[in-house]
Amino acid sequence: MEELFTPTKVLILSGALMSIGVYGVLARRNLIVMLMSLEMMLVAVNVVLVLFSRMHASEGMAGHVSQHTYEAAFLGAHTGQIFTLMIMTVAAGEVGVGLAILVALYRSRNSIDVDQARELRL
Amino acid sequence: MYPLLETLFGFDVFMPVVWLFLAAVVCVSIELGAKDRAGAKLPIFYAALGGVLLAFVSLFNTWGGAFEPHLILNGGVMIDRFGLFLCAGVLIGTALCCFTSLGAIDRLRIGLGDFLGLVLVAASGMLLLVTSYDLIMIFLSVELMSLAIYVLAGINRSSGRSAEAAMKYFVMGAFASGFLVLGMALIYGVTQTISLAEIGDALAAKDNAYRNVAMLGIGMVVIGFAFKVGAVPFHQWVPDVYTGAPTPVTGFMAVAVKFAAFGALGRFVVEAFPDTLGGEKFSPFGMGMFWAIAALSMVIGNWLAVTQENVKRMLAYSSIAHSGYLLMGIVAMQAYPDSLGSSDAMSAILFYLLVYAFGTGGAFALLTWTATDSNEDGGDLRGLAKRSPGMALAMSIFMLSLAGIPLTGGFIGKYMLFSSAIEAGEIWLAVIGILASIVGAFYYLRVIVLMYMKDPTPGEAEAKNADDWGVRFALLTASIATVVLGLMPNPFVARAENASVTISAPQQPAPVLNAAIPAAPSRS
Amino acid sequence: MGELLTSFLLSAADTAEKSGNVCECPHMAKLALTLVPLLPLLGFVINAFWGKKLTPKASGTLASLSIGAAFVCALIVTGHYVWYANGVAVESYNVSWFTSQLFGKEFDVNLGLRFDHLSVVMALVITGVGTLIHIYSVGYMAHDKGYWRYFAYLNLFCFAMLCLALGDNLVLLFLGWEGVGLCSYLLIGFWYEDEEKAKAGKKAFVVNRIGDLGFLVGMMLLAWHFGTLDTAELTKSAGELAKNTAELTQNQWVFNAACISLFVGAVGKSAQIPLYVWLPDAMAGPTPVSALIHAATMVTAGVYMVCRLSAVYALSTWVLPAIAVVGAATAIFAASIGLVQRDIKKVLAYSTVSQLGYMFMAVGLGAYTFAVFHLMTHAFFKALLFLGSGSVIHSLEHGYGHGNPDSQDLRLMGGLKEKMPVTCWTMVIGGLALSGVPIFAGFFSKDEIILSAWLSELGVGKPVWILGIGAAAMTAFYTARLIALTFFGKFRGPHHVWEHAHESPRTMTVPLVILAIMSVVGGLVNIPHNLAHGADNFAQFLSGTFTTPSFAQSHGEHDHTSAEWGNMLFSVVIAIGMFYAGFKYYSRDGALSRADAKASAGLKPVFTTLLNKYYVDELYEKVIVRPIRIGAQLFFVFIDMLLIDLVFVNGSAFVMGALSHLMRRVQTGVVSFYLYTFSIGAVILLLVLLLW
Repeated sequence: MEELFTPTKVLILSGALMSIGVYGVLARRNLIVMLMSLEMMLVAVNVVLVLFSRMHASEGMAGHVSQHTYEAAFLGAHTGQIFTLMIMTVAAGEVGVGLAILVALYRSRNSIDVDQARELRL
Repeated sequence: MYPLLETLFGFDVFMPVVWLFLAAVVCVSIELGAKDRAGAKLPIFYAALGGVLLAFVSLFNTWGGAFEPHLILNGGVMIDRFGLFLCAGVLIGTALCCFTSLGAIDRLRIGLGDFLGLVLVAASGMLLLVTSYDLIMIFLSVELMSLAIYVLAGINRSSGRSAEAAMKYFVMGAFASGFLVLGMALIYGVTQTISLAEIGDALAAKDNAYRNVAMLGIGMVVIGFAFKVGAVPFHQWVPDVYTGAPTPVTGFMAVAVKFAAFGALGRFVVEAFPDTLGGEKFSPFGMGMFWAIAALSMVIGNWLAVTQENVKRMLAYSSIAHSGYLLMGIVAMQAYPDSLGSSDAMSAILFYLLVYAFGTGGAFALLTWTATDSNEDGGDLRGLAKRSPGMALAMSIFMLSLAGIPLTGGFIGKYMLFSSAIEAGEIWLAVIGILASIVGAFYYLRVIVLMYMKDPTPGEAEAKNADDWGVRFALLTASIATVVLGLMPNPFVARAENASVTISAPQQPAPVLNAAIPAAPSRS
Repeated sequence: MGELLTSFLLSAADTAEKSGNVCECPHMAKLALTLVPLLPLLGFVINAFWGKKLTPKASGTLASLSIGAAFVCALIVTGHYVWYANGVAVESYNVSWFTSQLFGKEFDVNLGLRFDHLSVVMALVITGVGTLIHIYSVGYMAHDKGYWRYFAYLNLFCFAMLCLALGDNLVLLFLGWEGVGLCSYLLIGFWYEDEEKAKAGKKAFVVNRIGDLGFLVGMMLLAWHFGTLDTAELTKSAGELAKNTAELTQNQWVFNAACISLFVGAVGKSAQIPLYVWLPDAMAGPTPVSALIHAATMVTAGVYMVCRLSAVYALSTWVLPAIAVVGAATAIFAASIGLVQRDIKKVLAYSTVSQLGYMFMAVGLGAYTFAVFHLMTHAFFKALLFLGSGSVIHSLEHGYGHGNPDSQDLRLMGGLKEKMPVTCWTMVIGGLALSGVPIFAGFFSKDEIILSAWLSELGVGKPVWILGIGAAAMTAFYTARLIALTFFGKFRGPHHVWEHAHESPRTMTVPLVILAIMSVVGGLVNIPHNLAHGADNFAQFLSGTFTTPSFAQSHGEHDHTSAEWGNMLFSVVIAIGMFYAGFKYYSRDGALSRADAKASAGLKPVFTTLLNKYYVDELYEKVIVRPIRIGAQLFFVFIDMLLIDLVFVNGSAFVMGALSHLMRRVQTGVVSFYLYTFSIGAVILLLVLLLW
């Protein structure tokens, strides 16, 4: 297992996800696709965080003798995974708000093409 | 102070946020339970205002006396004077918004309870943001604040402009959040910690191999914050969203969000920026980064404001310019070699935020007052002095303050910021800022000319809003505060100095109170 | 009403002064001093908030009462100061405004007032002339619908001007400086319906910003070097520094730079070359405003500021001579333009610019006392002339209709002596005072300035003297022309206007008479040595107030009686001669139209029939009027209109506006584009961070 998911590979995966996400946000005009791309950016961050968390865990927890310091190191090392959970929660909220805004935009313009909404300019 | 709640929640210093949340719940409940919307307006308003006042009172409980900074929520939230000063600012912005929305809500075709509920939730997010002390808390509170404000920007469902503003803010905000959280992930990856104070030390201890990743992380976090404060080149949402959003929301965004974002940015810079990175002194890098966006914001914000005809949009550009001035304070903070000087710069930022809150908050309150169904932007100030001299005088005070004319708070604020920049040796940035603010004086004074030297547009509703006491109260308070800050700034400056000394003084390890997991000692 | 008011004010002044004498406690003086600026402020607040509900008369009376009460307070303080204070300046309650670090020093800024010798003159002139002009305005603005705004602005102006004159530090002085600028701006554009007039307000605003920048830079340099902006402390440190030659030479550039920067501010505010352009345009405002702001008080702020900082100016090397040259050049330049103007107020405006040039001439020569003396007498007679012209305009407007520019056109006036005798004779007195005819106030002050130029040890002394004499000659000529064209000869306007013309109401004529009396006796406070020894009370009163620069210190030690006599006779001959010539030439029927026709028709021999009859006039015109006229027109077109208007004022605004319009295009409204710029900005920022 260790061999399969080396840090480099995971980082490449995450970088790919991030790039696809950024590309999607920049290149697409459809608000739904943009929402998906935004989520993908957050997923990329999640992958990175889990990776870092695992790396820290394997580095930091070796050699702890006492239960006390071990617990502290354990907590510190797994902060990344806690962060991931938080990001997932926030992402869900973000999608909710995003879809609500999408509906409002569609009702006012009959279109979810973001570039057609350009009443506010200059 | 609150024995019952203290035992319930275990942190009395955390009460402001609790009060705001409770008030939000009450507001929404009244809205849900009420039979007629008009009758529910006042109870909802009082509930919201009561929440804000209680939050304010509980802030002051922890403010005075022998106040020791301490961490709560397992090190996630720092309670110190710096945070409390900013909390007070956020609450002032929230209170102004409560008052201004009271009359304006009828135009938005939405219940006041829903509206103020969202405002209070956003405000509680801001209170958390300015007291956050680790990356997760920062991220969560930024999102809590932002999600509520995305919705608020689009709350006028009958207006296409409002929906457009919400969409733009949301898409760009979520994009910026992606940068922010990626930066945080990278910082965590390098330092193995999320606590701000430990990040600074850990980064300083790292060798050159980690330099680039750390730089990327810090840069991305700064980009995220720069977006929130509306600094160039991440500013383009500001004019559109400020114009499209309902005016009370715009006022709230301009005041409270700026307080919160600058507070968090200031804390991040002071705590998490390392002294050295990869063997080099870090401050030139941090300074260079802020130098560029500060100069750009001051120049472009003022410049583009000059030709705006719509006062609301002009104020949006002016808010970009003011972000530039404040960022100049952050540059000064880093340029100082000693912590005493940098606390001077920080206090200048805090005082300026306070002044700016009253100036801009008041100006948007006035635009709320002049707004009509046909002209939601409320930009028609022509001949206002003839229609209502008191309102015109208040608006003149705000404009003079924003332009930095003496005897208003704006002058003292600008003076403190510019002198701290000059003291820190950032002469050129100060010169750019002074030149830009001379341009700025032009468009602020043009508003005064509009009000005093033009005839009212025929058919402009005369006394439609005359009984809107909420806005009247907000305007009165804001204008008095602006003048008081200009005439007797010393007590407020002293507060700001007090607040910034705690943050920039050499850190002793702060005690963790009420740690959520008793077994875990503070990380080291 | 007006008389009642005046007598009430005078009696009030009497009793108040007595009570001031009885109570020797300094609190009385302090309180009175504090009230001097605050009373007009109170008037402003009341008029701004409730003025709309008052009748024009009530609003005006309120405004006049507030400034009148301020005058009374100023009298009380003056009484205390002159008789009891033994030269110790009266200081008001001092409020600490803010404290900060500046250039590594602790830097306190206080809001406080100080009353010393110089303040006596300024405060009494501002409140005294101000009161008269307020009372006059009650009559003048009686039919204007914006009366309450007018009186509110006027009171606010007085407040700001008093802050400027009484402030004990440069920060407060600067506040007043900006405040009077703002009020001037508001009042110039008071009749904003007229696009031209709104533009004039804008021009004044832009030009004054250029000056303000100079003032700010100068103030910063002083704060940086001295660590204080309190005027008394500045004077003290500068006095100590003057003895320390080594430090003085080492930091010479600071003092020169500070003084010249402050002078740039003064040039803007006091309308000197090259920033004088706003003042003639400022005549778009109501005439009492021109009298108060653009003749008697605000425009003299620059002179006052330089006088106040005389100790600092004594440290500079070449700045004072430069000021003298600028003043003298402005004096003759503006006077030559004044010769050909057709608008009655424009003539007076250029005349004001020219007289301000005299004051700066005196300042530059180190003769501060006479600058202040001329400032005072000028306030009397120029306010009188403006108010008189306002009375004329007011009367003609009954026929032409309100705001018709014809009512200000000298070519359409004439013979008004019959219709408005009081206005006529008071204006004649004002005109004689302005021309420097003996006995009248202007003679004493202007003569002293010209004499100082003659006696000056500076290299520029003699050229300045020549310019001063030349300007004096022109002054007498255009003043005579103005009066002759307005009041003498035959009326040249339409018949119905003549029918409607009448003398102005009492509220307007009483201030005229009072000012006329002041224009006669105002000069007697300082009679030169050669006429009556030891009667130079004004100079004695102000002696010791100013720090005389080194080159002017020997002045007064020698006996200059012969030079004084020579100068005096020379200038008297010129003044009376030119006045007489101008009066004779222009009071003949048709003189003006002929001169105009000649100029427009060029060399066309249309007037051959008239040649024999008016041979002398033709010669006169060809030799004197036309060359000057052409020169003046050239000046006017090239310097005034092209260079300054187009390049300085409109040019900078145009470039700013055009660039702003261009930059706005970036804000396309397309969110994808915003995302692109966001990303590009982010990438650049991160790349710079990584690769730096």
